[in-house]
Amino acid sequence: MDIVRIAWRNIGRNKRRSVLTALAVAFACTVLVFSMALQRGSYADMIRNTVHAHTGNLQVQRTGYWPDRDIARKLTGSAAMLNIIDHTEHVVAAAPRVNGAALVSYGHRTFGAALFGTDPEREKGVSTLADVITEGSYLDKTDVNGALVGYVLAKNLGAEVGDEIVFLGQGADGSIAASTLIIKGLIKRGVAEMDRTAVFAHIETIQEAFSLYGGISEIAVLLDDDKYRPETVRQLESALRDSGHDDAAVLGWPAIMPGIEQSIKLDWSSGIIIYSVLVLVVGFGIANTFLMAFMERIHEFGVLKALGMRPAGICVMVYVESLLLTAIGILAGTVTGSLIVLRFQHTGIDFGYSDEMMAEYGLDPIIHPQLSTLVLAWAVGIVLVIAMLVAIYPAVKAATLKPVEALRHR
Amino acid sequence: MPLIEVENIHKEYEDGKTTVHALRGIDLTIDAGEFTAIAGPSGSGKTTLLNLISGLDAVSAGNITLDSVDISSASARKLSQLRLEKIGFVFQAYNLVPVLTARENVEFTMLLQGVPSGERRKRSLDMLERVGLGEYADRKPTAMSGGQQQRVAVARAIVTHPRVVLADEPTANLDSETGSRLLDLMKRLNAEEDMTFVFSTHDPMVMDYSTRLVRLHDGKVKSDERK
Ligand SMILES: Nc1ncnc2c1ncn2[C@@H]1O[C@H](COP(=O)(O)OP(=O)(O)OP(=O)(O)O)[C@@H](O)[C@H]1O
Ligand SMILES: [Mg+2]
Repeated sequence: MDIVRIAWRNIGRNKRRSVLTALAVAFACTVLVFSMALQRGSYADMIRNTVHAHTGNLQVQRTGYWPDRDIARKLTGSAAMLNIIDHTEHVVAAAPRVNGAALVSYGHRTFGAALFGTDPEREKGVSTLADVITEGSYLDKTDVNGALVGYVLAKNLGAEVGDEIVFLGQGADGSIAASTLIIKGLIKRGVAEMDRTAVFAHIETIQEAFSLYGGISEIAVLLDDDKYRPETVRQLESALRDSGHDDAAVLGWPAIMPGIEQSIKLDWSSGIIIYSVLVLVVGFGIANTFLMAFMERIHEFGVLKALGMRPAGICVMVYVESLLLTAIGILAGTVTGSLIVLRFQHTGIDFGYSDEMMAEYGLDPIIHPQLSTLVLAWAVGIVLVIAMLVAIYPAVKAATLKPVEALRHR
Repeated sequence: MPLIEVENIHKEYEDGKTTVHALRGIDLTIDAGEFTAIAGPSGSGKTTLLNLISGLDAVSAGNITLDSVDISSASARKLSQLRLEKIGFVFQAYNLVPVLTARENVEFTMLLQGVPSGERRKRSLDMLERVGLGEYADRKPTAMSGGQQQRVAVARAIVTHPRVVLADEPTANLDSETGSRLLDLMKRLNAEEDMTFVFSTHDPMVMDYSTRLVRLHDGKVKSDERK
């Protein structure tokens, strides 16, 4: 018969109220676990989409290539490096690329374009390039003059599949880089900038035009899971260094696309604030029931004080009571929330965004909620902190009651 | 040797705009082992006096010493300690903890004192046996009659061997037969344990049990007789 057991019995005293209070806590917890898991899931989907679309989980580049992307800062010995990368753990695929800028013309029209030289076979493994062709076909292994063009760029140029376009840029040595390409297919990435400017062609063709002599701009690497990225980055760094590629740098996607990570951080912290406010509202309701439970027992607190129970003892007893109730609610809410998340973790939830929204913001209509210790810790943490705060008032009030006045209370 | 010394105490309540003069200069000395009834009409100050002696409330003027401790100047924490160690309480009604069984109620003050659980159990069962409620040890207060509840309250009050048991109208909610049985019990404990009892009442039947009768009127001692 210690304080916790007495507190436990007091909870059982007004079962209806206790159940309602615990339910309110559980509800807040369920909502938090679910929405936070949804939020984290949307980030994971977003990362997966961008990583799969083009960038890869990480890239190998020449030291100093980033962020200016000067085509002259090229990597050499790509075949040897690809061999090392292919044999690294967690690597699914790797593809070399040359990134150049050029003016592209068809007839009388000319537009600025981002020129990507790729290895068609390897590119298929790393990015979704082969899956986003709306017209025509993918690059052929042997036809080195073929090109895939963003559908908006093609429309702007007035060119169609089978037409010959001309590009004009500046080579790595300052010479003129120019050649002709035949449009093999049109691509639609759903990312406005890509669709307006991208031209994909054979890596050898671009290397030759830009006087790179076999040099490349980057090797995009796809991993089986982004969570292995940091360790793979370290592994590759040392493997490349050990094999004499001193000028190679390994960059994770957050370094290449810092905007995405920043917007995730911002979105997450504003989410935390919104959730805290939500729980605070629930907290006022909980505070109310805590207070009701307190009011009903004022006379009893007077008796306890008369018996010689110290103010601190009464404070602890009342506080433990509130926290026990909260703990039950949190447990129930966390379990419920987790079960809902697990139910949808693989199938995902379809939010049915329109095609335009998807194209504009790169949104995927299906979000896969993702349960993690981070989500559980935040959900439990927010609810617990707020419950602990609102429980202070009745506990202190009970402790500081004047014994005589409490005893007179009926 | 006096156990309780009350010296010229006054108690005023601020009740909104008016001031109620509940006690107007009370002098009283109670020796160890006495069985004292404080009687008087409603509003004469009986409850107020008991509350002041136990340190539940503070005097407006005057001095109270209990077992050589000056109550008037003690802190809330010190007063809790004092009540826990030296005073047993029985109130008019509703003074058991409703979520605890009879035995747990009796154990409660020992729990606060830090008595080990085995000993608590033994002493509380012995005590319930002595007040005739051995079979009721595991009952909750709601499943007991008013008289039985009061006997549990008496058991709880004396199980820690306090210097004095203060009881504010312990029989007021009981019928006369149950009331006199409770008084028999208290009187027996008074004799067996040499334990001091001070209780308030306005029931003439109850006054007959006392060995000393203090009558209050309008906040003053009207008469004080030892039998
Ligand atoms: N908290 C308080 N505020 C204002 N007045 C009070 C308070 N407590 C007691 N009084 C007043 O003090 C006087 C004495 O009250 P007290 O309760 O001590 O009388 P009592 O003898 O115990 O009466 P009863 O037999 O009805 O219990 C009464 O006039 C009462 O109204
Ligand atoms: Mg009274």
